[in-house]
Amino acid sequence: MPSDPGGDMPFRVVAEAFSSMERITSRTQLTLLLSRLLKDAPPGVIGKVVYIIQGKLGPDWKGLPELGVGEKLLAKAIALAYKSTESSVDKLYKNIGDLGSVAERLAREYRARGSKGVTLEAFMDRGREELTVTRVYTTLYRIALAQGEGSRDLKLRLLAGLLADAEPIEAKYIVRFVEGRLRVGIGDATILDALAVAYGGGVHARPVIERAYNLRADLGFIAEIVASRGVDALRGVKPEVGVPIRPMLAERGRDPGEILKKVGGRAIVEYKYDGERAQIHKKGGEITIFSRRLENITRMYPDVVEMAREGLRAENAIVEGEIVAIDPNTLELQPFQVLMHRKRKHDIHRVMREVPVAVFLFDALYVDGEDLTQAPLPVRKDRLASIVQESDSWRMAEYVETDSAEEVWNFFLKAVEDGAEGVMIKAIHRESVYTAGVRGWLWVKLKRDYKSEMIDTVDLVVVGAFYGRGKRGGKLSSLLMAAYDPERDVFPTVCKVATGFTDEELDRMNEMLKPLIIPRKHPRVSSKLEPDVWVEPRIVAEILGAELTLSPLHTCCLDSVRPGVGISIRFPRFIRWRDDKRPEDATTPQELLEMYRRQLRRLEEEAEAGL
Amino acid sequence: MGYEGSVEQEFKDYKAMFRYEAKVFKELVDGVSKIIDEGLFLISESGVRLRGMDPARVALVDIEIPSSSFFDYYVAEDVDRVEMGVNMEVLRGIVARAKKGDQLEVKVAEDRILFVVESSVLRRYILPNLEVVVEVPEDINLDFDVEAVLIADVVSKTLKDVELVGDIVEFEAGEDYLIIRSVGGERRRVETRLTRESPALLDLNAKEPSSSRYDVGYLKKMLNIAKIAESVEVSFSSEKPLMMVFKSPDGGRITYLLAPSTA
Repeated sequence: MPSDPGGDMPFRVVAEAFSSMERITSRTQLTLLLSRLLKDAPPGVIGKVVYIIQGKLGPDWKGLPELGVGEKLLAKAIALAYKSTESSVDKLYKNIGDLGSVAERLAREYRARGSKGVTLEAFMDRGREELTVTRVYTTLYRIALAQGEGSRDLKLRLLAGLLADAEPIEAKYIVRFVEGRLRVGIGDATILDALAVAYGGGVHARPVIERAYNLRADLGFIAEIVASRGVDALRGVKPEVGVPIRPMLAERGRDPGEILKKVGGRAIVEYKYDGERAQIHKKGGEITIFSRRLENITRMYPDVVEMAREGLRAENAIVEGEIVAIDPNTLELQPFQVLMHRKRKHDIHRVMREVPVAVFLFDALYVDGEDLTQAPLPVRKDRLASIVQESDSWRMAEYVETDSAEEVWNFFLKAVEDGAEGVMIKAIHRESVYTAGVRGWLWVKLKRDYKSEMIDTVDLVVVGAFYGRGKRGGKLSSLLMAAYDPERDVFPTVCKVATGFTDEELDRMNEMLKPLIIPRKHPRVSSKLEPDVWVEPRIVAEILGAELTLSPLHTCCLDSVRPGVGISIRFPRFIRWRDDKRPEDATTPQELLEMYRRQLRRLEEEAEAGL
Repeated sequence: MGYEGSVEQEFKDYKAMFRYEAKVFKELVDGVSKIIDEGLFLISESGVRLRGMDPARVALVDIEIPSSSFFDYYVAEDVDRVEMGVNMEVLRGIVARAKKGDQLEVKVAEDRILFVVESSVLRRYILPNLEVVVEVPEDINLDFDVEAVLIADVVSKTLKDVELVGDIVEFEAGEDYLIIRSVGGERRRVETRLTRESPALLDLNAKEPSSSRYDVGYLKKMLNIAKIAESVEVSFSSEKPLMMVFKSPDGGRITYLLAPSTA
């Protein structure tokens, strides 16, 4: 039935489709049925039909309020609509076990009694009018928007009014929708297929529709375009600032050499930070942040909003980065758990100071009218660099460009030691476009297979120190620590430690170190790093970290696990000074190596929650 | 050219304009906004009519103000009437600070509306002209078995008492009596009984004995708007809507329609 383009659609058609779908188990049949429904929907309402099918009022990222109708209120509305009582609704519910069917039955009995609806229209000469998709959608929308004082009553009346005017079968699915259990089993993929069949002549049209959906994550909007202007109109769809793009996803690899081959030989190798992936939209002064799952997380990161406002030199832009918790004193990366801890807190403005974050930007998808998703990665990176004004906490993600597996390995180990999760290896050839919503081999993540948890403290010797940044600027605040190798009588470095000091301890430490500063490296120290000041190996401190990890930067246990690589400590913390210990009493490389091996465990394949 | 000029420029081709006592308009809007969320103003040669339904579509408010009540009034010659749709809460905000003696000027263009509140300072607001749909036909075509005319104050006081006892009010009428009473209060009950002899019952015409129940909260909100009126026409039938009509001396008229309570 070709429909009037501006017209509405009876809700009964949707309810009947739901009813048929309930009896279908084959996905092909389901798709066909759905495509017929979508074909019948006029362009003006197809978006609403799609949302209703999805059991929502709009895409999740819009952050529309919940309906806010619990089971009790729903039962009350059913009773009110059909002049029944709450207790008889409850009783029926216990017998039938499904409120939708209860409403359907009561509606049928109510109609049989020849009763009228509760709304004024029901009493007018025109009698009862059939429910339209628009009426149902608009009413549900208003129920959701009713907030605050008196809203419970308003929700009740709106819902009761709708149910009273509904046919029994319509009542059933309205109630199911409100309950959040439409149970018709239709996912995004089925809707995409159905749209392709309805408007593109078959599933072969799906890639075009899907690509548009990936760029504009709003199925209702996509359906509206397809229905009004055809599938071809979607070819011109561009990202729109404020509408999230479904993120590009990565495959996982294990061997740097293999991965490099997969991505075309030469690649960008980039820190894979352990935080929250963020898609940042800038529209004039307005900033919106979407999570990897396209939720609007702007409110959780007022600090990032501020950074983006100042640090993006473009009027309109969509960029991607990782939000990571950092140590407020040292600006070092913090583990993912710290960021999660921040997200669970309510008083965001307080937590913002306690757990500051940094953003490491890695991609630009749209800049001032220019759709970059079809541009190769190097172009996008250049564009990103050209609009990002860096600061301590708003920076380009750390990366190198290489074709050497060895360099990938070393960069990977350095990333892990610095607190990153691993690295992303990204293709840079001509076809290295941004494949929104698609997991592919253009991006490959390399994460650790093994992990050695650190369960005991170690005693290490201070051999050098670095000046602090941020609020510790000007003071020595990060210590280069070494083990003691009795066989060679040298102090090989293990890690840099900057966390765990109070401000008082820091002051005391500066006093302690001053007389020990020496103009060049002590002859018994072995280090690849060059600290701001060298210190005579004299002071011993107790250190605990999260893990022992392989490191290309430190010389302790060099070559004992892998050539060119030593052992270091990830997320090291200062525990206390060990004035009772001489430098020669420090933990030995042999002991560290044993600790590393004893605790080495294979990492379970994580659920694909991350990138 | 300043901002002022450009706004006037934008509204050069407005379709309707009226100027009214801001304080009176404010009180009207205050009262109506408690019942309806979106209002449709129909502006024609005879006057301004404001129609709106409550979000649950149980109650209808229909207010008519004759064009002669306005300080200034204009409707373009090439149109029968001009529609102006507004969110009542937003409108309430605009006139919230209106004081006695202030004037309100409204200019309605196709897609936008200009409000100018002329007080010690001039405040201008531009709102989108919303498409507001009122589902109840303009000519309310209902047969009522009972038609009565009462002193408004008596109805108002009775409803206040009823509200203290319960949520529902029942209207009952026979050939020579009209009762307004509370329903479902725990132990307390309120009842006002009027007969043809009662001075408060100005007229009564009951085709057949009828009784019907309504939500008292809705009715009370309505009486707040109509507090200027001295008398009220009340019409109803058993288990059918109730209509109340208030008239003001200058030809203004407020019609209120409420569906029966289902409780």
